[in-house]
Amino acid sequence: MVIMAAVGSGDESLPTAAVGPDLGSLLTRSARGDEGAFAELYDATAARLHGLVVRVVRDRAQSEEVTQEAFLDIWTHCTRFDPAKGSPLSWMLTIAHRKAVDRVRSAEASKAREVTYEVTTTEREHDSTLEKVEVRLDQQRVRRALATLTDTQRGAVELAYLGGHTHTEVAALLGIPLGTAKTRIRDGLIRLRDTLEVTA
Amino acid sequence: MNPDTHALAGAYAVNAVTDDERRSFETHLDLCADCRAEVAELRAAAATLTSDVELAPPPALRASVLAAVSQTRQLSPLEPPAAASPPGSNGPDAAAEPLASLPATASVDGSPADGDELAARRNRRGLRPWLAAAVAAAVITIGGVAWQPWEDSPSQLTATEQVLRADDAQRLELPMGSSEITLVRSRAVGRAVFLADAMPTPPSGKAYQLWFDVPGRGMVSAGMIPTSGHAVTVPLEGDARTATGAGITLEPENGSEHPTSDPVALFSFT
Ligand SMILES: [Zn+2]
Repeated sequence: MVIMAAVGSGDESLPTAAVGPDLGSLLTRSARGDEGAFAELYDATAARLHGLVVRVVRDRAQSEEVTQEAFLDIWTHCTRFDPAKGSPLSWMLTIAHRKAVDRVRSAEASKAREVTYEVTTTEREHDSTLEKVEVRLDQQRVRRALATLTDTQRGAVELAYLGGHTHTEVAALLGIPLGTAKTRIRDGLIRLRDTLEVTA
Repeated sequence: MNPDTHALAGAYAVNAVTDDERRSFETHLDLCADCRAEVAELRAAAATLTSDVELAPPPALRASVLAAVSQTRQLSPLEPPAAASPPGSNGPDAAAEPLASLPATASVDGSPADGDELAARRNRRGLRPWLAAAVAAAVITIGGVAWQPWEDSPSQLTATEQVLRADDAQRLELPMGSSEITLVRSRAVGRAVFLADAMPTPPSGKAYQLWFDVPGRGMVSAGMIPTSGHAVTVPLEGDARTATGAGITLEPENGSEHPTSDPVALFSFT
């Protein structure tokens, strides 16, 4: 209960950013060509980025290529990172997500997607450290926020973000008019943002 | 400006747009501070959806990434920072590179800084398939097709997008497992697309195969459905114009010439 209260007062929207090194300063140092800082940045974020990539791409070997591509992209573009456009982690996840979606779509455009690796969303190992507990409770917060979305909003958001589908494909999957899917995706994300009080 | 333009902010934030829509919306973003702020917020909100999915990549990937980094030139900042001195590693012409380009892999100084030649080789090997995939990703286009105009005229649409946007798109839905499977066919485009939000996993060694029911020819293979317990979108191979229906059977992994089992799903176009 005490921990719950502590979490409630936290203002971190992205759980993994709640602990560990200051990603912003690592990114700034990386932008000056500091490879050591970039290695620290990798260590702090690789599991999070790779988890997202695998969730979208699914194939393990391809996911590793995509994660590598994402980090190289982050390295070349960190000189242009603009804190006004979002947090460092959000910016990095956006790059990784874009790479993952591009890979999924290129596979579909050329040939049917090869899927050899099934990802299961692994619950974190729960141990007694405060860090883990905080993360776990933050998950409950995310789940509660997701529960405030309507089924149709949640479906549209998940198909788009996790399935890597365009909003046109989402409309076809859900059997809704073309313009409606993009509205649901947006409304769902807005509700998620407002419930979690996410700041960019 | 199309009043509908802002509505794309959510789909854009989660990359649920085509390349044409992305280009078009980014033109809008340059002019619309509201959408810029919204996109940043919605991206952060979307990121929470996978905050419980962490998977450490294999240790070799770290060595590979860092070896590549030491050989990869960074882009120069768009505007030089007022206080900080310019980064020494920036090439003079780096700013000319488009944002979406692949990282330059020119060997600036020959050997990787940490001397891990094996990792560097692994990295170079790792990059090649990606480049190959990028070439293979060339968008499939079909000429002379009517699509819904999207703000600026899209120059290229994938076969899938053309079918899904076609005026004559015919949508069929069937229950399968715990969810639905969907088939969309356009006579005008001449193609059909299979979509599923949670395709059941086939038994080991088996795969789902798509078929067109073509009068006079019977069931003609339309390709395999990628094995997955997740969302899938796949265009059917072959001409959807003459087909009167489509079906799905469970077949050996590499597919069959003719169906060897009873259909698990049948769609009728008539
Ligand atoms: Zn706008």
